[in-house]
Amino acid sequence: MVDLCGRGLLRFVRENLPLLLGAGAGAAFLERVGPVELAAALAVLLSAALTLSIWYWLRFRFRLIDGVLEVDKGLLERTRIELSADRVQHVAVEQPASMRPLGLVRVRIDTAGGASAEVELPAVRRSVAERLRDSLGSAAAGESAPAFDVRPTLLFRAGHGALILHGLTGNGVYVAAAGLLPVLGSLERGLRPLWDQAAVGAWLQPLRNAPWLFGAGVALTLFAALLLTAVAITWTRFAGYRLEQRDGRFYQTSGWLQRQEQAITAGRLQVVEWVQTAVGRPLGRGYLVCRQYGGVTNRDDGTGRGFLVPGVSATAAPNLLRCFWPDLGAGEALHPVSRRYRRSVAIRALVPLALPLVGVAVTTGEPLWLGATPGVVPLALGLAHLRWRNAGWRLTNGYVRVRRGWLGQRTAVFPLAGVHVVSLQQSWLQRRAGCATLHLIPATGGQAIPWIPLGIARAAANRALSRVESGPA
Amino acid sequence: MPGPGRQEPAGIPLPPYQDAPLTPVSARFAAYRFAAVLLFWLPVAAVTAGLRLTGQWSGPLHAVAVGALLGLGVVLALLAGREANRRGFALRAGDLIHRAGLFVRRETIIPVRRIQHVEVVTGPLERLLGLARVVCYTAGGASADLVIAGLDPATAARVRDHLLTRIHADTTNGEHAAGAGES
Repeated sequence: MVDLCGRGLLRFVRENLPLLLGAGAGAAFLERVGPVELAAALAVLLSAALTLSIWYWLRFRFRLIDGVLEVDKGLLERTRIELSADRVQHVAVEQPASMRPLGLVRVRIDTAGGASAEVELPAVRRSVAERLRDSLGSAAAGESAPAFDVRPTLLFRAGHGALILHGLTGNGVYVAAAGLLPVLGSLERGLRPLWDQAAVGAWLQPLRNAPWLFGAGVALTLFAALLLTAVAITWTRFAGYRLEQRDGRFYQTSGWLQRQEQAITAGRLQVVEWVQTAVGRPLGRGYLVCRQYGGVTNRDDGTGRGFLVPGVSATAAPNLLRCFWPDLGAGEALHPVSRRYRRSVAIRALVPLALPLVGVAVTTGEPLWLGATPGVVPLALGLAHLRWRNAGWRLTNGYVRVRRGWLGQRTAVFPLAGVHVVSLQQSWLQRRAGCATLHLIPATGGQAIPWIPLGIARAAANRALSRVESGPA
Repeated sequence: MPGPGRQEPAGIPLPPYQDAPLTPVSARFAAYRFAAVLLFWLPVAAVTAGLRLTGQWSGPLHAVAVGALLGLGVVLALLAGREANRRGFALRAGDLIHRAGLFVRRETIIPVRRIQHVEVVTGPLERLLGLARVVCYTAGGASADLVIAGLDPATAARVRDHLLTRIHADTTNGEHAAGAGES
């Protein structure tokens, strides 16, 4: 009720903003708005919100009969939704902090119709939500509903240290930087009068005399703030992360303020990526991104239709992958791609590296910038060498591993039988070298293996086609 | 799809896709591609030439620019026409093969069981030249959809009907297998 009240109020404000702005403008013209009037207005608004919430709750009904979920909702405009289980792509269970004391959860059901075809059941009991998830989710995947008396097996738990390391080594640092950038300007404007005031100038005198020291101090402070923010974001998102397996399905639970639970069917898993950032690689840390077919879009962590397993060590990652696919086999060394790939990357990197220098030279009229353009050649060659060294691939036991990266590394693992489209691409340079780029495209997006011998690329393509065409639908 | 405890099937070896003979697209497709590319660059050259009438740009450099744009348009149109002559496709028992490209050549193979929907589409210029294209939609998103352009309408309709029949047969076989597995 409280959650309905709050969210209902927010939704009412959002949908009726012009009306409220008009009411606000009207209120501004009142000659006298005292505390009594303000309290009365607040009381009226709260009463209205409470009444509307109770009314909404009374008119919100749902039931699951014969594999069809029926939902009746709405106040003035009544909506009836009938959702067949075979149209359900994914079911997610979330528990905001406000619902935790009451033992209630929110169920989000994603259908094949895209973002606008999401059905939400606010504030239901956990036992009801789990039965709904298991019934709808198993019917959608064409499986029988899992047995409820089977104890789950804990596969992975992210401890406090692992989450801190994930915050320090993951991409959350960039998210934090993007969030802090707008604040920096305001911070500088607020601090500048303090800096100029004589009263505080005395103790800052040593810093005034050594501006480089001051600059270094500010940079260190900002960097520390960035890392702390990244760790805080990670903690909020992944606190208490657990990955469990029960009756052939995987359940992940995480979150501090909003606890999210997701069930993943192994049959829908398309690609699992092992990701290590430039900072995570020397520390032996990374995270898994599991992309599944028809999952709920996870807007806040950028994984799209997938889920993220944080704080995984380099030694634990292969074991976790074998939990998803037991016949994956041991992780043999990957095959390198042709050395000529370096030249191709270097040529393609030259233009975007040289263009800014040329642009500055043209706009400022300073020919010195043009003189600096030969300097991008060793930079392009260095980047190309990094890219080539990190590129690798292997086809073993019906699974594909494809690795790519610059300073960080990203290794995608997926079954050959999950490929939807096979494509071979040859540039003029590749034709001369007898190489090709092989694209293997599962449902969640393509993986490219660049610059491998043409014969090997075609053999791999034919293997993929025979797996797909002779396997089960 | 592989899952916990399920073994990956070995797969029946198929004839290599590169040995499949390809059917070339219609001879009129080269003319279509030539005209389509020229229809883009001609207005660009015309607008650039028009700058002289408005007095914004004139002189020898302007003439060179207009000439260069026209020349570039003609060269690209000729290359597009040549590329169109290289296109081909093949319908095998279990998949659809398509070849395209001149400098960057691409061979795309889509297993029939991965095709979700098939459409025949014609634009105004295509209708003028008696052409159509077949669009095959997969679950891999727009980048994984396949467009076979440059077919005559009858061939496009035959390809579409054949694929839809195969898709329906595949779906029915899959449902029968699932039912046999449950009984």
